[in-house]
Amino acid sequence: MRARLIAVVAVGLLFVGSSAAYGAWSRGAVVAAGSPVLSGSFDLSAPWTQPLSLTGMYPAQKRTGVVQLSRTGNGRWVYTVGAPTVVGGTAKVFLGTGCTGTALVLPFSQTTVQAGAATVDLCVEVTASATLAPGQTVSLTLPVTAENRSTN
Amino acid sequence: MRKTTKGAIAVGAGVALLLGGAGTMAAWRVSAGVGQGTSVTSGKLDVVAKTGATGLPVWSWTNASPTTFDVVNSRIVPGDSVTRTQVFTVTARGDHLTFTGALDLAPTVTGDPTLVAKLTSGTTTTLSQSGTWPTGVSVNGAGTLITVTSGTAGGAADLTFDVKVTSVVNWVSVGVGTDAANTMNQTVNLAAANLVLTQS
Repeated sequence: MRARLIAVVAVGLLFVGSSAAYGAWSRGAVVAAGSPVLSGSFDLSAPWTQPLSLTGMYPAQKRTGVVQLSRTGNGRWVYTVGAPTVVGGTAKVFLGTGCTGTALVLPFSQTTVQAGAATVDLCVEVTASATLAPGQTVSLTLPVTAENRSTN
Repeated sequence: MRKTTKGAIAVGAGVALLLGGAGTMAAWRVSAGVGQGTSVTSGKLDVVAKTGATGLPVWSWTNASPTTFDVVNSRIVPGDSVTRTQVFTVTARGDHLTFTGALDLAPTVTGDPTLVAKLTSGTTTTLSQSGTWPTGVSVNGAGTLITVTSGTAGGAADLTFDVKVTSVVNWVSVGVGTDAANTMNQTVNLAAANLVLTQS
């Protein structure tokens, strides 16, 4: 009797046992890095597609030229045409290739986002001063700035 | 009297024999075979990248775009947002199996430090449902923890469901001229992580 009782008690202890530790499954999979991502670039191109020559102007003479704006690099863009600095005359700027219609009020900001590949033509008309003296030069500085916008 | 006495003594002797020495006694003993019975099988818990293209990390423009993001030719600029996704398949079996799923860390942007500085604050990663999930499988509102309740993985077949890991990288531009030219033509990566399932 004594031997049998001892065996039963021992088995009971094994099952009740320690509750502090137990095994648990854990599985993982790699979330891969994937390909690298590259940043682009952004710059403004503003060549004269119709050259504006201010050489040898006479009083009150008008001359025109067309500058074409476009962005180089990536993304969409907007632009601003600043107030021109003219020595020996005045200047007007028109949208498009012909200096006709209503001149832009400068500084002018185009807030409509331009597509990446968009180009903008600006016709620039310079009028020499009526009191332009012989040998006096006429010069123009027209500031144009562009800002990038998101690709989408 | 004598006969009775003898009988009584005989009985007494018999009783004495039964009560007898404490060292040995007869006892009943029976046995029966305990059959082997049917086998017991353990369950399973596993997660792998889903078979097919969606099981690979894929970059795309976060916002609607007329063009597909091309990892070779596409370039990000200030204000852009790109998304990386990868789908995983979870397989589980266990009548009382309860487990959770989570990333061991939040993937971060690495690479050119000037560009990393512009992208880090706008980078997030979440877990979400892909395809059909059975009752008992859920994801928390933050998209950080998947929970499978007890009994969901029980039954006659494996529990199988897909989980999508989505990372969004935003280039937050706070104003004109705030992104220096040295962030142009740079390269960054989104670090890897592990999707871990843990029995609970």
